[in-house]
Amino acid sequence: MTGDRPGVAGWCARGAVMVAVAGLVLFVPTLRNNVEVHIYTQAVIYAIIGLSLNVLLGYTGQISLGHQAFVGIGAFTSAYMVTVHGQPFVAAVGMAMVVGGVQALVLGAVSLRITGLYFALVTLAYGTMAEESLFNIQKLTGGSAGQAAPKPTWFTTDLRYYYLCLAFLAAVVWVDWRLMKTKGGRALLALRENPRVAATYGADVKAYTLMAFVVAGVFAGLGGALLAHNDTFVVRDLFNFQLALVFVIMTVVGGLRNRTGVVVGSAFFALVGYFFDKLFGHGLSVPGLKVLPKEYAPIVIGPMLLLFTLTRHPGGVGQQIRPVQRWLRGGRFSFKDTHDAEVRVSDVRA
Amino acid sequence: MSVLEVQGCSIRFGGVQAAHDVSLRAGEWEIVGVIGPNGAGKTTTFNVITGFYRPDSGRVWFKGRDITRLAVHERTALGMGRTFQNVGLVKSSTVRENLLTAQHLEAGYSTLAGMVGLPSTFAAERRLRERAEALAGILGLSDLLDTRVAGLPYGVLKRVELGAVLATDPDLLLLDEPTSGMGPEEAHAFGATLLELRREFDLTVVMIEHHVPLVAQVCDYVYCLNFGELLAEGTPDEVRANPEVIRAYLGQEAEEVLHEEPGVRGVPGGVGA
Repeated sequence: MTGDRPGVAGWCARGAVMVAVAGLVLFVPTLRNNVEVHIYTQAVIYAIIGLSLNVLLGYTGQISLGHQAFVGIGAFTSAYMVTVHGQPFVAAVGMAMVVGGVQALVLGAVSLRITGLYFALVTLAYGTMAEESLFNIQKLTGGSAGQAAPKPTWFTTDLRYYYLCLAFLAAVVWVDWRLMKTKGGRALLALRENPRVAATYGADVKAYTLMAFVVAGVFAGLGGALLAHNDTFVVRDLFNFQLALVFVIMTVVGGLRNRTGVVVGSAFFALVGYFFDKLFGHGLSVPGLKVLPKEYAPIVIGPMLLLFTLTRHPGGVGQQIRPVQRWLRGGRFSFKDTHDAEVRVSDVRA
Repeated sequence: MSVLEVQGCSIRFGGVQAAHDVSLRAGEWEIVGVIGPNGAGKTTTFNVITGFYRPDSGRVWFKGRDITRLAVHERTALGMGRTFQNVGLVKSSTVRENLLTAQHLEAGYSTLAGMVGLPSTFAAERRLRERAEALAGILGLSDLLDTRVAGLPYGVLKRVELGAVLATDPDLLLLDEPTSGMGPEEAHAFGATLLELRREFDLTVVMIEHHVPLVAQVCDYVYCLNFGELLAEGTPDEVRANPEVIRAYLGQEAEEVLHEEPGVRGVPGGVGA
């Protein structure tokens, strides 16, 4: 990006856009009611979960169809620590991250032996197994009645909790950014494409695969814990396979290996149900069909966007916003290079 | 002291004896050539040396240490670097990214420190970038630093790969057909580059090579493999003059045909079979 740097006016325009985005994220929620802020918080948490899945799907190329279990275990661990053991929020969230990392490590050990479609099946089985067994442990989950998960002391209002989650998202983005800018991330990208080359470059392929799983598990555990305290109540029915599908779709549609894209895509899928409901009142009634409840909006819109992503824009939202990102960094605005295939469709296939 | 010593390594894949009792050594600063017809077990031997294959019997010594059971990345850490016959690079990354990735063990910080973003890692990253740029300068790749590897021509890829291997800071360089796809003149120029690099980076080199003039130009010692076994060894001239080697390259039948009665020469399928 040499030559023609923007002038003062150019930088002012770029600054204005960035301030507008920051304002949207930081101040708009102060103007909205609690119900809506609650949804926004969910969008922030989904972004964390999307980044978690991006570590697996994007960086190591392993698909997880059991991510609802990763997230759910984090949620129940945190709720259990706070409600049953009376632990403070920080300790509970920390525990959720540890448990998330450990269970991901176990699954990572499996992935060293099995990859691709068969590994996807293992994660699918793991998710279902967790739903049927772990989430039925009365003590941990409160059974079908659910487990209470009160908000932390200083963050009892929805708005404050929103900012807390935003801070956690910022931390996750930071870790993800630094990971990919340093040797660990480079080793991951190398081993996804060519493990033999990664090994000759001196990277321990097994150790880094496991590390990716642990990082993804820790992020997912964190996401789950935050989700639990956002709802102040967790029920096991929330963590079904449909949720795992939404997680995968939002990550792919967001754009693999593109941090901003994944955040935007995940937030979109968290919000789509609510705004779908707002737009169409009491669900979309198609003549001859029953009314479609809002919970199904992501599952209906998701595959359409997924199809569009896979066939037209393999880089997802990340690819679509790249001209804007380039412009914000001081480059010229142009739609050229948008098609440079950093993400290929084959990356997405398990 | 020899830098590399392979002692009687054998490896079998199902019914194929890919390498049988192969022994070779490379002394400090030597350039050792490994030649042989296709399927002779040259790359197999390389894979045994670098740890992709574990030999059924025999040992591999590197700098006086038995490394037979070490993993690939552990050997890299000890100072072993290799290139691949079909170019070993991260194709979807740029040249710069490859040169950075290859400095994995040179980073001087832990993965966790990098992930958390300790201030020292920023400085370390700057050093790595400078070193990558310096290496690119030496190999004439400065203009290509931000080009994606996937689109580059084959000859350039070979150079990028060499740069990446040098970035791992090796003492021993194992080159698998470094001049494949090059013409005689380019191959000759590569020989000069190799001698230069050896001096600059203090290297011992073992290379699989088909260009006989290049082997004669740079190699101190040559091993010839055939059907997984060591056929001959010696200076390039000795090996070149060895009748066994000539027979291995031209084929048993060719030899027979040359010595048969004139009348048999017309038998179809003799030479090419």
